[in-house]
Amino acid sequence: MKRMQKAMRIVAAFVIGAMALTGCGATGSNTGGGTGETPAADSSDVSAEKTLVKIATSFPTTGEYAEYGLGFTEAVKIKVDEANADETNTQYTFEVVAYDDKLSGEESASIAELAAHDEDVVAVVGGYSSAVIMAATPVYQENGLVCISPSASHPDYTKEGDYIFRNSLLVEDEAVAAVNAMSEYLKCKRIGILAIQTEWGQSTAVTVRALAEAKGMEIAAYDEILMESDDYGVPIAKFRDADVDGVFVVGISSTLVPLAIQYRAVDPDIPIVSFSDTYNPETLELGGDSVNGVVFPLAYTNESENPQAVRFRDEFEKRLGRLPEVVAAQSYDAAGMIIEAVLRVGPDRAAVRDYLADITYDGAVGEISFNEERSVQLDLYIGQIRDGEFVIVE
Amino acid sequence: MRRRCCAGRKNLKDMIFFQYLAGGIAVGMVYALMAIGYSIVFGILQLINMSHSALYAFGAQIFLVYIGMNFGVPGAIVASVATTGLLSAFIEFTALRPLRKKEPMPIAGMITTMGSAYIIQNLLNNIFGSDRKLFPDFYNIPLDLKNLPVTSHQLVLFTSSLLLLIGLTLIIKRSKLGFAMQAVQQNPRAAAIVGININFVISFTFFLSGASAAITGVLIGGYYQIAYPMMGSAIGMKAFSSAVLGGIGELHGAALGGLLVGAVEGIVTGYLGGAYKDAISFIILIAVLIFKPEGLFGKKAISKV
Repeated sequence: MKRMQKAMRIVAAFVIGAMALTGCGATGSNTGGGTGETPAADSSDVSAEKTLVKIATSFPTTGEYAEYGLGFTEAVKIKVDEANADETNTQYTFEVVAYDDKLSGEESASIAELAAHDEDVVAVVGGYSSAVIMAATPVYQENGLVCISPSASHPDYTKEGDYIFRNSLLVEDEAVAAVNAMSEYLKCKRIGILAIQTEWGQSTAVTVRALAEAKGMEIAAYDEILMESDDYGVPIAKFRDADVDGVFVVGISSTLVPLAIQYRAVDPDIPIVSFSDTYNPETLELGGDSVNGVVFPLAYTNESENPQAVRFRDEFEKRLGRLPEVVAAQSYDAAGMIIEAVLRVGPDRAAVRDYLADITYDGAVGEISFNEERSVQLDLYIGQIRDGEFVIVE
Repeated sequence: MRRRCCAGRKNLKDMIFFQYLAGGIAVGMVYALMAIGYSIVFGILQLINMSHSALYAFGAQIFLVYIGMNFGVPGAIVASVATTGLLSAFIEFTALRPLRKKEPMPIAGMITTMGSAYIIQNLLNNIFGSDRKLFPDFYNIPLDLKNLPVTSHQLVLFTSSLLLLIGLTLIIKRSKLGFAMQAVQQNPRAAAIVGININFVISFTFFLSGASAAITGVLIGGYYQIAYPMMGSAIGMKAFSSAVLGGIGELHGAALGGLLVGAVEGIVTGYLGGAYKDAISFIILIAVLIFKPEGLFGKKAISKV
């Protein structure tokens, strides 16, 4: 009798467990290699007239760069919401599937597998770091899924194949503009180069060095620094000992700002040049007076009167309480191009790819089209920080 | 004719070697401050407290909260120290004390503190955001340092490190509670037999460690004028290595270990480049441990049979 009762309890437990699992499976959720922040809409919620189309995002939404990643993801969501609210769009309901790549190549590749095998995902906007997204591009290419990076500047990024696009500036283009500004606008002759100790930093430093030497500048000192370093005492000592008359920072604003604070404490007039990531509210907030005079190239400003830019900026500020960075605007445009492709040729991945290759798109950063390398050509300005504000000087 | 001393020599400030050394010692003070915190807990409990770097970041972040609440700098420092100390004691109470009762493997405690570190960092990221925050430059004292290759910030940091070291040493070596801590370190059972409240002493040890983490976080935040949730992770391992190098468990050893690591890092990276920064720290550590496994100032463990 006791054995029978025990057996009945075990059977009952299995039955209840099976029922519970069946119930969970019915609601559906998007989880996986990153954290799916936006659960997939239940297909039955989509009206009979509209087809569900997903755009996946792959950015670091946790960890040290979460603020950036969340901003880029939100930028994509803003565009998607615009598309869904557009009354002329009667065919598709767009949805963002947000993944967290944790700024890790392994996570990024894992996300690529998930996105590639989700039939509703038509394209991916992703990759804050070139190294991270390049771990995933073989998967995207192999599975015929478009990946547009709004941030990857490594020259080899698009070489993986014809499904890999970028709508960010090539680092060479930024470097040319920045080095020209250093030579012609700031009149530097003997410069120091400080590069972050990553593959991107080291390869970009080589480019900067070559360009600077071609402009007749002498590279009087060179040093590398870990991305997470806060102390710049030693490279500053090295640059000062080499008597440099300008410093080129090959890194992002989290490298530029502490360098500027510490360098300007010992040499208030040292000219400093860096890349477009300088155009970032955090640079002004954290750098204060120390970042006045910093020169950088950029393709987008929040002062743009382009209607798309104004609409995007206002909505971004409303949602996140701050102005967008360049990469956020580029994420917005990447989503816009994918949406336009779907509206024109349907949610077929190959058709979307072919459409994007020939697109001419009016985005927040201006008119965008891809060259045969699937990179964009953007007009560049030279910006400078003056009295705590970003101004365009050239 | 008598030769003038130092004729023709440059000022110290102009000599690149001393600039590298000064830069390295400045970083070394950061390691030293954190290493002291690791040493407090290890010295009493033989436990590697991996949550220390997260508590350091917490101390800096909570200071900003108190500044935002108009506590003023002195008030915010006191509040931050108290809050972080209590958080550290809370971790001990909730995560380590139950573990201790079960007499687990020694590594279990370290793993638990490692988990606590991740929890704290996640909470900091979620509550305060992962971005860098401006930290008040509250000890920029204008000093005329003439030809010395140091800044006023570095002098204040060095003085504060010294005061912290002296203060903690006095507490442990001279106060009644300090004697109780030493008794627990030597023989917990005997200490309990003579009436020492072991749990209270251990909690107080963690409170001290958390308080020192907060002091470190506030000092370093003010030095670099930036604070962010992950600020401890970059230097945590270096600081721990410094503590081991100096003789983990010896406060003065941990401090000197930190200064040594920082100084050598500064000189080597100055001449060879930043690419070798991490390697050199651990090369020094391994080299010292090969010849002196207990660290430079550590005492050899004596086991009686």
